[in-house]
Amino acid sequence: MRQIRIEDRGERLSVQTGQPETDADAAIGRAAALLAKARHPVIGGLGCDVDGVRAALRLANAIGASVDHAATAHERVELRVLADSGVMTTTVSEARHRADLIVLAGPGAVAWADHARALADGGGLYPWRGERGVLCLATGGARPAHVAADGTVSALGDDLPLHRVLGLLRARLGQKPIGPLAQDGPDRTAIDAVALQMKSAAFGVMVVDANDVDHVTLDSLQGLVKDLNRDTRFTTLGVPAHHHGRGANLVSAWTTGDHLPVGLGRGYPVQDDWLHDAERLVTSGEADALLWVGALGPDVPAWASSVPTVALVHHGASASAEVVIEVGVPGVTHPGVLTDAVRDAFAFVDAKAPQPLPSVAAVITAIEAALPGGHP
Amino acid sequence: MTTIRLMGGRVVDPVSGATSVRDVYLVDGRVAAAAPVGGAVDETYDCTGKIVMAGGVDVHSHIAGGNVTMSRLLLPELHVSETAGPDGMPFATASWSGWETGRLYAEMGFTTVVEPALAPAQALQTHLELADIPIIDRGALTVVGNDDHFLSLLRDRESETAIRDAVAYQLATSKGLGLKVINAGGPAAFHSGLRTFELDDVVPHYGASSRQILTTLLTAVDQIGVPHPLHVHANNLGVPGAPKTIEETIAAAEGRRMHFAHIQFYSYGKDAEGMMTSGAEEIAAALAAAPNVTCDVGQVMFGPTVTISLDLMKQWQGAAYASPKKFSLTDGDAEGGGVVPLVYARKNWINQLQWAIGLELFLLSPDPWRVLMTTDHPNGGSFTTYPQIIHLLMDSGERARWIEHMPQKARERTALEEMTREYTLEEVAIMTRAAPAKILGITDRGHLSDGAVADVAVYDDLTDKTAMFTNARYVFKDGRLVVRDGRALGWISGRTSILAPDVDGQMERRMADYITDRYGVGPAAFAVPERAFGERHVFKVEPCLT
Ligand SMILES: [Zn+2]
Repeated sequence: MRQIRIEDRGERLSVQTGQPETDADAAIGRAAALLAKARHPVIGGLGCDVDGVRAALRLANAIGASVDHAATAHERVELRVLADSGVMTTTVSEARHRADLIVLAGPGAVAWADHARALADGGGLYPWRGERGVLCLATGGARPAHVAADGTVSALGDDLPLHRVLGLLRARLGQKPIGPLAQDGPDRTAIDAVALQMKSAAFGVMVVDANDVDHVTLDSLQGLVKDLNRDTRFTTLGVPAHHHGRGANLVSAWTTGDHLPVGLGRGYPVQDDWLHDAERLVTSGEADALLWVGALGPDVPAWASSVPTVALVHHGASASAEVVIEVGVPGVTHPGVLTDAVRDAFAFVDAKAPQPLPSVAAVITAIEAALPGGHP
Repeated sequence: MTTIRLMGGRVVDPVSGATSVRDVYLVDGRVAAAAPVGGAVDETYDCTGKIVMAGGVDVHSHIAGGNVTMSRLLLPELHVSETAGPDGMPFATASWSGWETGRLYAEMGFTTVVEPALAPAQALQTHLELADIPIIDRGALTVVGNDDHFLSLLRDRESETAIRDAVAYQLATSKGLGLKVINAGGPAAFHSGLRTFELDDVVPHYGASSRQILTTLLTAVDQIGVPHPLHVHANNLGVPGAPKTIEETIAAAEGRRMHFAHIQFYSYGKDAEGMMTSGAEEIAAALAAAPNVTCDVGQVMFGPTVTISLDLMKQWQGAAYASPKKFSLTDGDAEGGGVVPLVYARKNWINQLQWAIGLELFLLSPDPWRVLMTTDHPNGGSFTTYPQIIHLLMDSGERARWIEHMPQKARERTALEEMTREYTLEEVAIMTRAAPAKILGITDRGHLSDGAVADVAVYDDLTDKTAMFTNARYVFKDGRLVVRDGRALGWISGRTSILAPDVDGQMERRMADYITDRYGVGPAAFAVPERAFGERHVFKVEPCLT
């Protein structure tokens, strides 16, 4: 493996919007030079708003970069399952108002439900809805504190992995035999009772966090939901990807045709989870420069130290990189468009506390303009 | 002042006059009947031997929004990018990207395209995507009629005024160019577990029938003054016997103006054994008898494609036939959407019959002003097949060559073989330019009258109409040359046409309360503000009828 050691200058520069100043120009210039001379640059992190992602993809096209987002579970698990076998999904507000059964599959679902509190009340728009049940599958004993339920929360397979629980339920729902059950696990009666509870729901919603599962397990979960729709209505809700991962991947889809990671080194987009994985490219030495975008986080990862790095970070972020440029945060220091986790849709957000920092899009556009042969 | 002279072309534009060889001038982005007095001509394009037409207008093509992007993510294998694009045009060859969409439309000479499924709860995404489609102008139709708020107004027997105000609110806040209803009440019924829905079926829990939803919206469209008639995706799409549904829907309209989307998918009759036959004649007769009704065809063309629809009921049924075997289904806050891949196979007699029925509808069309060309892209096939469709309509020999490959079982169920009609260039100009622009209410385009928007397509006059219409010789957008020799020259940004109807203040407050109850966030989270587009100037407000 090729190791590149570059002294950590740890410079921190702010670019003023509106009136360019010398230091900012210098930082942009050095960032452009660093990326332009790379044989295979990578843009990673990508925690930024819609315009930031648009600008990053344009820059990637200009310099032949690979582009990836930090929310790898969303890309490698959720979006993979979508492409492999399709999905059934709903929105948070439909789940809140319409679901008469909320199934929390895996501990991440419980943690999200308690943290986001999006299902903390049962809604009230559909007065005909029956009582709301809550069911925990393979949550390792975790139970939600902030999910509205009529009656007690039921559970199955606290000590089993989710894929096993899903397998047992699918088998029993399909009236197929199941093999011998472990002594310390659920018995057949308990499995059948949960299967019946799911089948009896008028509109069930299964919540799952992609970080809890591999693509095979998520595929099986989606398969179970499709099976249930033969007789009733059932669907799923994914825990939103962190650092605006869903929004970034949607922008990539309409800009490049497909989700991240994507490589633009050939003059047309190539989507490949392995080939264009930012961490793999950097740690294997295939990539020789990194542009890390962390306006919405995450911080520059430790593995970035093996390549020359330009880091766009929010105020207060720790970053050691060859060029560090402080940028504004959409929805905090400047306006922008982000996916709204409550609605799973894009929304324009205003600045709560405007500061004279540049947006990710402004910095990346300036870097592109400063490339040799660019159009300033 | 910039003056462009298109010299000596055969101008095919029935709106401004009979077809003749004449010069057309483009002055500062507008068409001028004559050269400006004393003004110099800046550029001249020799159009001798070529056909000059207005830029094409597409009334129904799924090019943007959550469900379109869902289809991109569901089916990577259907759109692998393989060729590098030209310099200065990022993503021009990125297959199924918005950038490719804009380029391909422009290269065919189309300059305005309308996305027919703008979901109010997801409006900003649709507009972000539309704004990233280069070169062409865009618009979108706001989908109403299946959401809880609207259905509750019907259940509670609220006044016509309240309903008009609520619909105007959705249209204005989502920045739509018109209104559309999808299987009126069907998706709402599907959320509650129903799997079929007829005109007189009732949405569970709301007590509103499909008929009632439809007629209420027909009234609202007129009261708001929406130039485009209500865009109707009727019940029973794809069901043999659906011509009866269309006839009943026309009757329900009671003479009010109405546009049927992709009517081919409703033109399926059935024989004594219940097997599918062509119902094109029945549909054509119904259209002929109803001058208030317009439609687009939704022609089926062969090959793999993907169906994208907010008709959840239909998509759930269709999922069983998915090819490849996968689909997505989203239970949204109103409709949601379903994405189901499909192959229209030449060897499949039903697919062949669907193809033939579409062509029958064109050839039986009572009026090119009322029967428009679409493939319901991508549901019947890609918009890139438009040149082939024009070829099939203008050249009976070409049709005969395709019919040769039809299985007997399909041939005996359609009258296509006996049809001799050939479309004229004038009819093509009406059907693909003047009529869609007129029906959409964007009357500054679709023709080459003095003062029209200078969106112009110049084609080589070839007998091979597929070749002729695939690559325009020149295309001008707002008077700027954007395509030469069938190749887009670079990226410029068009506009998204919208309506801005007045919104009643009281309804605004009511909607704010409802939205906050429903979503836990206020109406600002649903807005499509200009500021969301940064420096870009995206929207063009079109007038409502007064
Ligand atoms: Zn459609």
